[in-house]
Order: sequence, then structure tokens, then C-alpha cells
Amino acid sequence: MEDAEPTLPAVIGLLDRVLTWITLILGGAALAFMTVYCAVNAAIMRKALNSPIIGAEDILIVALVAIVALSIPLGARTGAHIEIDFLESRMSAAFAKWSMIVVKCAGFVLLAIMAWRLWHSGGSAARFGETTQLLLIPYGPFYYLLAVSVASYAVVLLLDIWQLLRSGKVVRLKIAGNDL
Amino acid sequence: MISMTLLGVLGMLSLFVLLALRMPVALSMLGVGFVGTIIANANRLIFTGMDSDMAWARGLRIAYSNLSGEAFEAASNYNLLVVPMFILMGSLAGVSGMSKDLFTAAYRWMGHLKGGLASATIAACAGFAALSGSSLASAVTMGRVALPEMKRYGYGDSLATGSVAAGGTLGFLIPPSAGMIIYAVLTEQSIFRLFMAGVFPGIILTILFIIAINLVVMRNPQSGPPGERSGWPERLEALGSAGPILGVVLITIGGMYTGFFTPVEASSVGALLTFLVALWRRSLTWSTLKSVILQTMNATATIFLIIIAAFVFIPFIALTGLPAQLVTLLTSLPIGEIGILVIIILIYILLGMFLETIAMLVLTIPVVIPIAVALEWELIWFGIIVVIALEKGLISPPVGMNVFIVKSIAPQVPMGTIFRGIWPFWFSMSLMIVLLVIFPQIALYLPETLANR
Repeated sequence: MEDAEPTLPAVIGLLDRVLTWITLILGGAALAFMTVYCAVNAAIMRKALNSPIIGAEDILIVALVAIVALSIPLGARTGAHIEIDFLESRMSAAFAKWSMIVVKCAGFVLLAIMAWRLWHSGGSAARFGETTQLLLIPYGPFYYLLAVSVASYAVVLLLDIWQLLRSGKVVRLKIAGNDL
Repeated sequence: MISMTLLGVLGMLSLFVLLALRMPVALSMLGVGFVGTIIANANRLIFTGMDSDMAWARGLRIAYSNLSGEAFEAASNYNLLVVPMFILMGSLAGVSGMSKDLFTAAYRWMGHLKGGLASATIAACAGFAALSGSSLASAVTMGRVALPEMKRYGYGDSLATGSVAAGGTLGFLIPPSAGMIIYAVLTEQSIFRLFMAGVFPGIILTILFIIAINLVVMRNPQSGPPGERSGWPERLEALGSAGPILGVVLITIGGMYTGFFTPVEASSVGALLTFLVALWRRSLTWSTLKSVILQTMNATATIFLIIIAAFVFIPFIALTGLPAQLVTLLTSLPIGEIGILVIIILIYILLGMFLETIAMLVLTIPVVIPIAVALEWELIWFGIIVVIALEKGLISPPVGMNVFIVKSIAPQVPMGTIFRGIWPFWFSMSLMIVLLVIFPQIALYLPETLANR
């Protein structure tokens, strides 16, 4: 008989709801904006009116950074970040569990360093006035956004470790059509 | 001090150990790339006579700088805007029932032929592939539509499931393709040229799949009995229903082909038009919209984190000189260029048995591209060969992802039966690679013609 799915701790349930809604609202808005803005700029402003929006590329670039930053923590909870698990069936249950905990600890340390460095680079970008080429949109805040995103992934790994210690299994956030 | 080549080998070994321990591919590459960059740079600086402590401190600073710099570079790469846009287009096409219209149109035109339903599935998969860059999405979407129909008409399980699994792989070859985008970005090739290079091979492979179905049915007529013959009014009506989808494909791919749109513009116009078609079909509810946004963000996360990791990992492997050593080794073998190509394809097929497609693509690029460059292969042509080799991995036992997808839609069909149905398509892909080797112009004609215009 297949094992029943362990119950999800309330704090992870709350995180899932927050992540889902942030992704839906902000991610959805960013996707909609990017689609319409880029299409209108291409088809109407550039081709029909021969008057492309100045700095459109700058805006699209920062919108892309926002989409990437919003997507990474969601992907961490849904298991979107690809793992190769064909050897798992050959591992003992104890080895599978403890090796996974070690791997997630290593992942946490790595992501924590990455978040710290991104935050640090955000500060440098602000200090040295790094901006986009035409509209001079400062890069600093977008470095910070990526840093928060990567840090959120690190937190998800910590919660995964907690789930593993608690029930020996990580329950993922399921979204409709996740198999795509 | 450690030799750079040994460091490269240790780096690759550590990577495979981490992958085997189920560390996500992106994190494994990030980790090995980060630590490897520290050691490789420290090593290099000590070799030039720098004080050991200072060399390690400098190596650490370079690795820190790479980690944040490359991450931001990848996330703010304008050309990669096509990733979320094409994923959005595919997700919208998937949830809005457009796949059913495509299948119905293909079915009305081909369903009365022996094996016609399976051929219609392949044709509809090819059409859907032009809206979606994902093989898995194509297999899921078309499988849900086509498998019940083939069951209704008494098709053999192996032909029915095999055609869906194989047809789905066309999503990876026919533009827009997620695999091609990643290949283009990591090898600094033009996404547009690579997309154009995939058009003829995609069409020819579709035809080869249909020929394979006919051969199977000739050998065993019970496996693909003919369906009902549709009248001309029904055929034309079905074609009309599929019209908006074909229109989106024509505008998107045709727009790129004619130079009217850049790939980034075509992706956003395609996503917007698909959204409008879905609205017009009244297939967008709050629930489907939620699903589209979450699917798009989810798949975006997968691709971007892996690209960020590749941006950190590839410079480390290049720094160790391992790819150059491999080039020297391979070119010294008395097997000629074709022999080397065969070895590369065999390695892809072997890796494809165990690794996920995009992971395999990103992991192998740092090693195989220097070989292709050293042998002066056209990287656009080689990209198409790699994509087809990866496609084979999607349907190769024991972990062909598309086979698992089909199994999830048809749980009553044993895996062995599905894999039996795969072989005719697997050989068709091999034939396609042979054709591309003999006639590289199949891939290169469109990009070269457009570049010269």
C-alpha cells in the first residue's frame, strides 16, 4: 500500500499561499505587462507608426529580472528545479533521507552565499550608479530583488530539511498542470 | 598545486556525485562552478608566483563576483525574454483546447486512412509544437486528446502510445523550442537562425514519423484500423476551427522568417494573439488563467536557474582546459569527423537514458561545443543534431520523460508496450540525423538564405 501523504506544517502551508498569491498577482501582472508592452511596441509603434517606444528594451529587461526573481521561490516549492532521481530506488530509506538532508544543507549554504553576494552587488550597483542604457533605470533594486528571491529559495530548503526530519518526506506545492 | 586538467576532471566527478545524490542540477552546477572557480583561479595565480594567501583571497573574490554577476547577467539577458513569452504562449494554447481543434482537423483529413489516427496525432503534435516549446507539454496535451480516440477505434496500445510519446518530441525541434533557446544562449548563436534551422528538419521528421506509422500498419493492419471518412464540409469546417491557431503560427514563425519581427517581438506577439484566441474561444476562466500564470512562472524558474548555473559553471570548466584536452584526445583518434560525431551522438543517447533533457543539454555544452568548434562544424547545424539526439533521450528507456507522461495518461498500458511502440520513431530520428549529416543544407538552407538577404 502506498504511504499516505504527511500533513503539511501550518507555516509551510502559509508560505505556499503567500508564494502562490505573490506569483499570481505580481508575476501575472509582469507577464501581462511584458506581453502587451512588447507586442504593442513591435507591431504598432515600430512597424505601423514607425515610432518605437524609446527605452522599451530597458523596461523589458527589468521586467524580466522581476519575473525571474518571482519565479525562483515558487519553483523551489513546486520542485521545478530539476533533480536526477533515478538512483533513489536503489538507495536504502535511511541513506536516501540523510543524503538528501546533507545535499539540502549544502544547497542552503550555497544559496545563502549567493543571496549575500547579490545583495552586496546591489549596494555596489547603487554606489557606482549602474543603470540601464537609455532610461537610466538603476540596477540596484533589481539586484536586491534577486537576492531576496535566492534567499527565499534557501529558506524553502531549510523548510524541506525540517519536513524530512519530521516525516521523512518533502511535500511539494502542487499547481494545476505541473506536469507540463 | 593541482593540475588544471585534474581539477576539471574532479569538478565533473563532483558534479555527477551531487547529481546522483539528487541535488538539483542547477545547484550542483552552481556549487561546483563556484568552488571550482576559487580553486582554479588560486591555482593559476600561485603558478604565476603570487603569494598563496593572496592567491586564495583573489580566487575567492573572483568566484564571488562571478556568482552575483553571472546571475544578474542571465536574469537580465534581453534575448532570454523569449523564454517566459513562448512558455506563456504554449500554456495558453494548452489550457484553451486549441490542441483539440488541431487534432480534429488532422483527424478529419487523415483519420480514414490505415493508421490515420496515429498520423493525425503526429500532424497535430507538429502543429502544437509550433505554439509550444516543450516536448512534455505537447505529449500531455495531445495525449489527452488523441489516446481516447485511438482506443475507441481499436488501435494497438503500442502504436497509440508510441505515436503520442514520439509526436510530443517534435515540441523540442519545431520552433519555438526551449532547448534551442538554451543552446543558442550558451553557445552565443542567434536564436532566430537556430529556429529557422529547425523548420525543415521538423517537417521532414514529421513526415518520417508518418511513414513509420504506415510501415507499422502495413506489417500489422490490426494495430491501426481506419476511422470514419469525413465529408468535405466537415473537413473544411474542422480546418476553419483550427484556422486561428494556424494563423498564430503563421504570424509568429512567418513574422520571424520574413524579418518582420525579431524572436523577442514574435514571442510576445504570439503570446498576445494566443491569449486573444483563447478569449475568443471563451476558454479562459479564473481557474485556467491561474493555471497558465503558475505554469509559466514554474517553467521559467526551471529554465532560468539552470541558465544562471550554466553561466557560472561553463567558465570554470573552460578555465581548467578540460574541453581542450578532450578535443586533442578525440581528434587524435583515427576515426575521422564522422566517427567523432557518432561518439557524441552515442554519448547523448546513453546519457538520455538517465538524464533529463534540458539538464543533459546544459551539462554537455561546455564539453561538446569546443569539439565542434575545433572541427569547424557549423554550430547551428550541430545544434539541430544535438536537439534531435536529445529528443531521442526523451523516448529512450529507462527514463524517457515522454514515455512516463504517456504512461500517466494511459496507466493501463504496460511500460514495455509503450517502449515497443517507440522503436519505429526512434529509428526515424536516427534516419533524420543521418540525413542531416549527408545533407547539412536541410538545416542550413533557411538560416543561410535569410542571412544573405
